[in-house]
Amino acid sequence: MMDYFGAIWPDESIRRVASVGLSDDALLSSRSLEVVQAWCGVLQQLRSFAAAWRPPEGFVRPAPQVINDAIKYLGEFRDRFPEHPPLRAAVGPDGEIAIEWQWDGGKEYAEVELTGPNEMEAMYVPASGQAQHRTSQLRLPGGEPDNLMIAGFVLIQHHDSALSADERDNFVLAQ
Amino acid sequence: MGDDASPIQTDEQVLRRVLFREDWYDPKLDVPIHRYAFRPMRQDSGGISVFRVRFIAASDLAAAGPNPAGYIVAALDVEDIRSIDLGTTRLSVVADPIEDLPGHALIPELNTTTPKKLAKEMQVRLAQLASRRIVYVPDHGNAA
Repeated sequence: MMDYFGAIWPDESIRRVASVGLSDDALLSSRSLEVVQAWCGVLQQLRSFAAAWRPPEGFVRPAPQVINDAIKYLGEFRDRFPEHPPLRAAVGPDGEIAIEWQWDGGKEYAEVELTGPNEMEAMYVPASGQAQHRTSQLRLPGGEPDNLMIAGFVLIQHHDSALSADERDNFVLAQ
Repeated sequence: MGDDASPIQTDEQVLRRVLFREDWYDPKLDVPIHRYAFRPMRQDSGGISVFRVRFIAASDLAAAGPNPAGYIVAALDVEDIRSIDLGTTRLSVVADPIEDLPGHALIPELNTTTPKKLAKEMQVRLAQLASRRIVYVPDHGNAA
């Protein structure tokens, strides 16, 4: 498994995110495979923003640090909530990056947006009712794990019954 | 065909042109269109642009844009847009004729000065609506 990810992503930080929790001889169920593929898909999207991607006229390419922050953030999220990969990463006109979750046929929406180096905003939009927002900074060395709070915020707004026991423990830490 | 400065009726539909990019349009998702497709750009100080179906076809609207990769076009019911009520703000659609293309209209509440959190929620609601009825997708190659 490591060889497979290593071939796709020579970058160690990405390889770590893509392979967490999988032993070299892991036999993947179809659900596990789906989850791994979902993580891989989003990470590939993020990498593509750094590589050959040409922003349309009037758009700003994301700063390398914002892309790296997004990858690091996803790594932490993946460590704590491995069963909940985001569905998409997108680049906004000013080079911001949004990482997105959808549930309930798309009626429920959650997003973490990296708006600049070390800056992130989270938003949860329920099927009905008002959206909720949090603003935070990525964790600084030795600092408080704000991004863990954001991760928990994103997920718990959804069905916390969907969380595994380990994930629920991680969420309690995040609150 | 009528006058595109005429007031917009509740039973009309409007079109929104969206850059054809794989991160903004993913047909595998329940909501394929990303909210960034509704994020006001520098020129959107008066609101974001839509076009009245009565005055322009989706394919003509897509063809008129400068993006080399093309555009997808979504149709939204005016009634649905006007029913988006975010507590302090209810969205509207108003005619705003321009020379370049017929049927131009604006959603004035979503502009470059709209408070960020409110704007983001509007964008999500509009992306959800737009994703229900995608009426034009380029038939060439892949998204940029």
